[in-house]
Parts: sequence; C-alpha cells; structure tokens
Amino acid sequence: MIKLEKIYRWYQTGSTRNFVLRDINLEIEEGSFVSIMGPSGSGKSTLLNVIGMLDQADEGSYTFMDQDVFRLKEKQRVELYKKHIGFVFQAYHLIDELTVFENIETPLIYQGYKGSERKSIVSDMLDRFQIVGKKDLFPNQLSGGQQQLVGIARALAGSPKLLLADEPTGNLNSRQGEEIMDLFKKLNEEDKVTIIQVTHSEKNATYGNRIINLLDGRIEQE
Amino acid sequence: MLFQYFKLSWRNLLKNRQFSLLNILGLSSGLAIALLLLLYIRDEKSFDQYHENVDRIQRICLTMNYDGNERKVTTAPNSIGPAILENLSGVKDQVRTLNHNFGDIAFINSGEKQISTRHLIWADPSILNIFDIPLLNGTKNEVLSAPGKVILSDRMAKTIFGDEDPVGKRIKIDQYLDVEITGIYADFPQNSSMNPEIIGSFNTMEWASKELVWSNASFETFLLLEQGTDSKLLEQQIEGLVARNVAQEDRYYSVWLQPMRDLHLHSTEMQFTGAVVASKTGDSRQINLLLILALIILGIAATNYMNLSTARSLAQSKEVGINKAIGAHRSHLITRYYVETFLLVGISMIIAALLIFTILPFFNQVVDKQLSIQDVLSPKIIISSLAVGGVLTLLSGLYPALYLSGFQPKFLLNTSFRKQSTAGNFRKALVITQFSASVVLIVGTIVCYKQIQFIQQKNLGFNPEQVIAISTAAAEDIGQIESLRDGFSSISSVEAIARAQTYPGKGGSGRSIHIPGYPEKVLPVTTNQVTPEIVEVLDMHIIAGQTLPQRSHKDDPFCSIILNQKAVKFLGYSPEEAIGKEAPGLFQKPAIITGVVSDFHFNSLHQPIGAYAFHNNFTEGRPYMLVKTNTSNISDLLSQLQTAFKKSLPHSAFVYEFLSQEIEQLYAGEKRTAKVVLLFSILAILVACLGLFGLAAFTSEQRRKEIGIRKVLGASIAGLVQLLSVDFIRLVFIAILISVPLSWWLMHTWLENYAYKIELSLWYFAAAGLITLLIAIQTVSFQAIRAAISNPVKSIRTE
Repeated sequence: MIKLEKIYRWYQTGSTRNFVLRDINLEIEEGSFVSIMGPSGSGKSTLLNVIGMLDQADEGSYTFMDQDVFRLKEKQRVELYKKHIGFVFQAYHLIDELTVFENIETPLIYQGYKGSERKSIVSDMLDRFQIVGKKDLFPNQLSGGQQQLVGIARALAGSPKLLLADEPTGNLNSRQGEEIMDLFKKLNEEDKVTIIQVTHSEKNATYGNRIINLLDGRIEQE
Repeated sequence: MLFQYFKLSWRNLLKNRQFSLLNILGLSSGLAIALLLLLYIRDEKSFDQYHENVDRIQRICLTMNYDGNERKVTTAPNSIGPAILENLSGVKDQVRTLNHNFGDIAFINSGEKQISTRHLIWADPSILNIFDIPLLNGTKNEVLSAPGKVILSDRMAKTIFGDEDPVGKRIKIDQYLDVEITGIYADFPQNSSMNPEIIGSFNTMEWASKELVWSNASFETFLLLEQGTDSKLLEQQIEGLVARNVAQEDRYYSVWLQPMRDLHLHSTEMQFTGAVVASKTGDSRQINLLLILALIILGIAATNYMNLSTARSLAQSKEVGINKAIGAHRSHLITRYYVETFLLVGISMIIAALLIFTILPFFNQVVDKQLSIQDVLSPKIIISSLAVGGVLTLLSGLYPALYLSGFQPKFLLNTSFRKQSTAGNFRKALVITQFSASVVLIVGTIVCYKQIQFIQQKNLGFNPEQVIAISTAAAEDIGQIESLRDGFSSISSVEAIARAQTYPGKGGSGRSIHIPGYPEKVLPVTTNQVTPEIVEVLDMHIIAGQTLPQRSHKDDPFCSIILNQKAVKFLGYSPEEAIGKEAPGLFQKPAIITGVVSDFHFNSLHQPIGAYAFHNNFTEGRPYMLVKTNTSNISDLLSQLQTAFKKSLPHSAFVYEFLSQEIEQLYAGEKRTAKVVLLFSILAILVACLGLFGLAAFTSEQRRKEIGIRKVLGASIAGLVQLLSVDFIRLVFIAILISVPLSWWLMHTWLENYAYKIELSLWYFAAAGLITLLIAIQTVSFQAIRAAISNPVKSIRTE
C-alpha cells in the first residue's frame, strides 16, 4: 500500500542543511497497524506528514496504492488523500464553530456526497461511537475523550483505507486513552482499516502489530 | 454547501464579537457615506435631463473678447435666435428668455397682496414646446401668444391666490405693468437649472421684442435642433451668420453652442444673467472630487476589513489547516471566506441603509440639497448600492480569501504553532495607506478653512459691514423715493444713504474703456450708476479728486465718473493726473473723471480685481437704496426701516439684504466643500482608527505570551506599552512622510483657483500630522496598556 524509498527531508539554514528525515525506506502492507516511535525531534511528525501527503520530501520517491505521489499534481494528490486517508490529531482539531454533527459531516461535503447520503453516514457514525446524544453540541462542550471520538468519527466518515493518527491519546487521561486505543484495534481488526500512529507511549505501541523507531531522522530498528 | 458556509460564517461573527463589530462599524459607515455621495452625484447629474428634448436643446453662449481678456456669458442678442431659425436649416425652434430687471427683484401686486420674486422671466411662447413645462391650466398655443399674458407656477399661484382659480385674474408687476394670468404650470422639479415662478410673454417687453439688435447680449436663448443636426457644423454656420450681420469692428464676441446636458455641471466659468441662475449651478470638478472621496472612503473601509481579517490569520490558519486535512480544495476555502465577507458586507449594507435614513437630513443641510427617502429607494440607487456592495465584497474578500486559503495544513501535526504572523508587510502597507489618506484629508480641511477665513478677513477695499440694501424697484414715482430717503434719514442710527444700480458682490453693467487715441486697446469695466454718497456708504478710500457731483440733467453734455486704480493705470494716468480727464469709450457722451478710489474686491476673490467705474449717467436705473447704519440692534433698526418704507411705498414689499451676507454668498460653494471635506476627514480617521484599534488588539493577543514572559522577567508596564506601540507609531510616521508632499501638491493645485490665496505654511502639515499621530497613539496604547497590565501567570499558562 505504501512504499517509501530513499526519502530525505531537510531544512536549509544558511549554508547548512538540517536533516529531518534521512534515507527512509519503508513498506507498509494494507491492513497493518503501525506505531512510529522516537524521541522529540526525531522526525515522527514529518514522516507522518509525508505519508499523509501534507508535506513533500526533498528527495526520494513515495508510492501510495500504485501511484507515484510526488509526481501527481496538487489537485490529484488532494483527490487521492481525501478519498483514502483520514487524520486524527493529538489536539483533536475540531472546528470550534461547528457542532459534532457538522464536524463529522464536513469531509463528506468536500467529497461531494449529497445531503441525504451525508445525513445517513453521519448518523451511522454517531451510532457507532455512541455519541448520538452529543450531536448538537459544540466541541468546547465536550470532554477531551469525547472530542477525540468525534475526531475519529470525522476521520472515518469517508471510509478511508488508511488512518493516520498523531499521538491520538497525548492529551487524554489513561482511561480515555485506553478506550481510544481499543477502538483503533477494533477498527483495524474488524474493519480492516490500515492505521499508522505516532506515539510516545510503549503501551500504546503494543496495540499495533509493527513498531518503527526513529532517531535523528533515521529508522533505527524494527 | 453554501448554506454550511453561511452557518459557519455566522457563528464565526458571533464568536468574534469585537472583530465583527469593528468590521461592521467600518464597513457600514464607509458604505453609508459612499452611497450618500453617489446619491448626491446622481442628483447633480440628473439636472435638466428630464426634458424630453434634452439631447436636441442647445444654449447659445457668447465669448466676449476684450484685449486678450475673455468672458463667457450665457446670454445672447435678441436677434440671433430668430435669425438662426430663419436662415439656417437643422433648427426646429428657438426661445429667447429675458430675466425681469436682469435678475433683480420683481414686485407683484394682486389686490392687497404684495409679493416679491427674483424668478420672473419673459419668454417666447415656444418655451412650452422646447422644454417640458406641463400646463395645469390653459392651452399651450394661447397662454403666451400676446403681450400682457403671464403664466404662474402652481406654487406661485397658491402663494398669491390660495385656493382660488387665478386664470383670468390680473396682477401688477413693479407697479406699472398690468398683466393677465392665462395659465398655470406644474412647478419645475428640484433638479432643473431653470426655475421661473412666473413666465410672461416675450412681446410684453416692447424694448426687447420690437427692435432686433446684434449688440445687447441680454437674452438667454435656446435652440431646439432637428433630429441628427450636427451642432459643431451649426456653430460654424452661426458664426457665418453673425459675420454677415455684424461689422468686423463691432464684433466683440464669438458664438458657440452649449448642449443642455452640460448646462448644470459645465458652466462654472460663465457669467449668468439669464433664466438659469448661477446659484443653482453645479461643478463637475466638485463631482469628481466627491467621487474620489467616495472611492477613498470605500477603499479605507475595504482596507480595514482586509487588515482585520488577515490579523486574525493565526486563528484562521488552524481552521484552514483542518479543512485541508479533511479534504477541502483551495476553491472551497476561497468560497468560504467570500461567503463570510459577503455576510459582513450584507449586514453592513443594512446598517448603512439605516444610517443613511438617519443622517439624510443632516447631509442635506451640509450639501444644500433636498434628497428624500424616495430618492434613496429608487431602483437605480438600489441597484447601484448593490453593485457597490458587490464590488466591496469582491475587493475586500480578495485578500483574505487568497491569503488565508493558501495556508498549508502540515503544521497541524506539530505540537505548537509557528508563532510568527505572516503577511505583516501587506498589513503595514494598508495601515500606511489609510493614514496617508487621513492626513491628506486633514490638511485639506485645514487649508480649506484657512482659505475661507482669509477671504472673509481680507481687506476688501470697502466696508460691507452694517450696510443694508433695500430694493426700491417698485416705487411708483420719484416722489416716493425722495420721501423714503427722508424717512430713512430721520432714523437716528442711519449714517448715510446712497442710491445705486447695484453694489459690490452683485456684478454691474459691462462696458469698456480704451486708451486715449487707441480705440483698439480696450479694457472691460464694470459700471454702476450711483449717487455721490456711495463713497461714504461703502467707506471707500479716495486717493485723488472727490466723489461725483449731484447729477444735473439728462441733456448735460458730459457725465462724471469715479474710477478705481486699475482703470486709471490702464489709461496711463497717475491718480492725480486723471482728475478732470476723459475716460474714452464708456458712454456716448464724454465721461469725466472726478475721483479715483483704491482698488476693491467687487467680485469674488477667485478673480483678480478688474476695472470699475461709479458714474452718474442716465443709462441705468438705481433700484437700490444702500443704507449705512451704526447700531448693533439690528431688529429694532429693521422695523424702523420697514415702518418708513411702508409709509413711503405703501404698495410695495419690503425687501432688504445685508451686503456682508451677500458677499459671503460668493463663497457658499467653498464653504460647502469645506464642510464636506471636514465630514470626510473625521470619518476617514474614525474608520482608519477602527482598523488600527483592531490590529493593535490582535497583535497584543498574539504577543500575550511574550508580554507575560517579559513581565515575569521584570519589564515595566511603560516599557511594554512602548514595545507594543512603537511598531504602529512608526507606520503612522511613514504615512505622514508620504502624505505631506502629496497633500502639498493637491492643496497647491486647489489654491490655484484663487487670485488671492493663503501661503501653504508648514504648520498645516505639522498640525495634521500631529493630530493623526495623537489619535493613533491613543488608539494603540489603549490596547497596549490593556495587554501590559494583564496578569502574566494567566497569559503564560494558556499557551
């Protein structure tokens, strides 16, 4: 599903290059649950950005579902990831001015679903995550755990093949965190969603079936 | 999807109340003012356009040439219209109009009722065919068909006769003319250059209609052209016609045609004595100025919006990032921000409409118009308002839509946002532009007011204070006038009385003198037939000789004149030499100089002083009694004057004017412009400050953490305020630097209109700069102080 070859990413400061990613070679099969670990500044988020097509590499090639991502035009790339990739953020990043229902609905609008279809998909999601009662609330009326549930529901609304999560439990207490990780595991096993998560927590990493360690922009070991 | 965007935008507005309020305030006041101006401009442009034939009507104008001096007038000889109609093809009809007493007051008597009006004209019957003057009563072909027939405006008919039917009744004009009312016409609309209250048949004025001459240019003449006539060609043919009829040496004028459409806005350089009066004339330059002002105000409002929107970019960038991460295209986001702009502009339009309704009376007062709510609600204005709103939306939404939608979502995954605010330079440029405009407007206001003050305080060369002009045009015989003079003299506060044809500020008869022995070297002279006391009444300074002698008899072989310095100099004499000499060319009989007065401003200060002569020849009437008084109790004096007047002229209305007020009238246009510019300056600064206020608020918010840290490290509040303010103040400084040369140039150009003008002194600019700076500091420091005194523990923790 994902194939990264000789990926380099650097920032130019003056005449020196600060490498964030060096020589990343990585293949991820469909249906896997991968955890990326490593200390702060090791390049985890950048790697996730590259995989999620929000950022480009300076060198190397990236194949996603048989498409050469770096060769695609901006518009095609957006089409590709909006169809296949969902994001979950550490800080949830819900839109404050929209209700729970509307937040989940937004990506469907961008994907061109009709009103009635959107409604039934969102209702499904609300049911599935047991937040029907919260559908008219705004994000700031929810607890962190509930917000993250909405975030995940939003990410899954368009039935993506790949879910990218950036420290999804980072802002949650341990009980809420466990619930989220259980949910991820269930999604991966029952709905066959491929998941790549960035995490600091050894415990969370064990939910997955593969761990990638980054250090100074390189893959250390697997 | 659009519905979603509306919802989102609406919630956004509610959430950021301060931001929304600033924006709506700025946009709505900008819109309100711009729309009011458009209303004003539209009204000015609508003048005379209601005539069905407007595109085919041309006014015959003359350019008089005197030795290199040009004077354009709106009137022509009485022979020219009929001659054109008879000899040239392409002209369907012509009408000559004559202002009764050349625009002076006419006294109307009907039974016991006495009324005075300046709006009485004598016109050919064709006036009803050429112009749209709907008759409410009477038949078109008959009402003006014979001498002694007049028609009244509806308003005038009601004033004189109330609800009675006036047709068939008779009125007396100036005591001697007995005429019959044959019809009533609908009042001329407010946007008509011409506004006669009474129209009399042309041949009632025998002197004007019997003998056709090519020299006396007293008749405002309009031509109705056939469809498709080339007016340029016609102009040449008219020149030829004039050349055939007037000998080369007598031809002191050239003829040209002015389209009816241009009458109102393109006649500022002309002298008016016809039915179209100067006080109703507009000025295309003023219209352009106002148009530019409207655009500036709109520009400032739009700039404000962009400024505030991009200042919020930090908050917005998150939203943009999220939306992009969940699949939004850039076009989605552009739409989204346009929807928000549209919503804000829409709300502002509604508030602007309410504002307009509220301030319309005040605006009318400032610009001297009678615009009504109906005018505002006319389809044209509504459509153009919507267009303005649309343009404003497009313009002010442009930058936020393009700039904000360009944010990349990748930073969403980082643990902290990048804290620098981008687009800083663009915002800075916007602030500089706004404040430059403000400074220019303030300088404009100061210079305008200073110039007007200068004009009013300028030594005119005579003293108009406490001089009252009372019209005696309606006196039935000389006995009444003599009795009136005696009556006035017996009032203790009356110092001196003179009779005069006219007075300074009100024109006079145009004649010319030439250098002795050189008949071709001529100079135009304004002449005024007066009694000797004029020197005392107007407090004129006699340099040489003395005032006129009492005039003796019509058949005297010569007459006496007093010239001003300008005229004497042209003749080549020193003031002393001039006494006893003749001024050639003035009258048929020799004019002997008895005195020389120093130059005085008998025209507005727009024009340099020309030659002037007081005389005692029997060529004109003397319809004014000028009374010099020495009391401060004006109302008492007026009632005394009126009592005396009623005693001597029982059948006439008491009509008076204060000379000083008449002279002020000459600068009514400037005063109006100054008021408008003042209004705009205040608004421009207000709107610009709204922007600065918002910007400062957001900057303080962005720098909250920095402020907190600095405070923990021991920074003083004063230091912090300075830190926060100095960036903005620098911008205002740059704005001042830019605007000073700009406003200098603009004001210099404006002052070119005046023959007598103030020097542009440095302090005007310094004052404008200082005012702007103080207001800006006030605005910014309010925010800065608020940020600086906030508790640092809170601001650091929220991060």
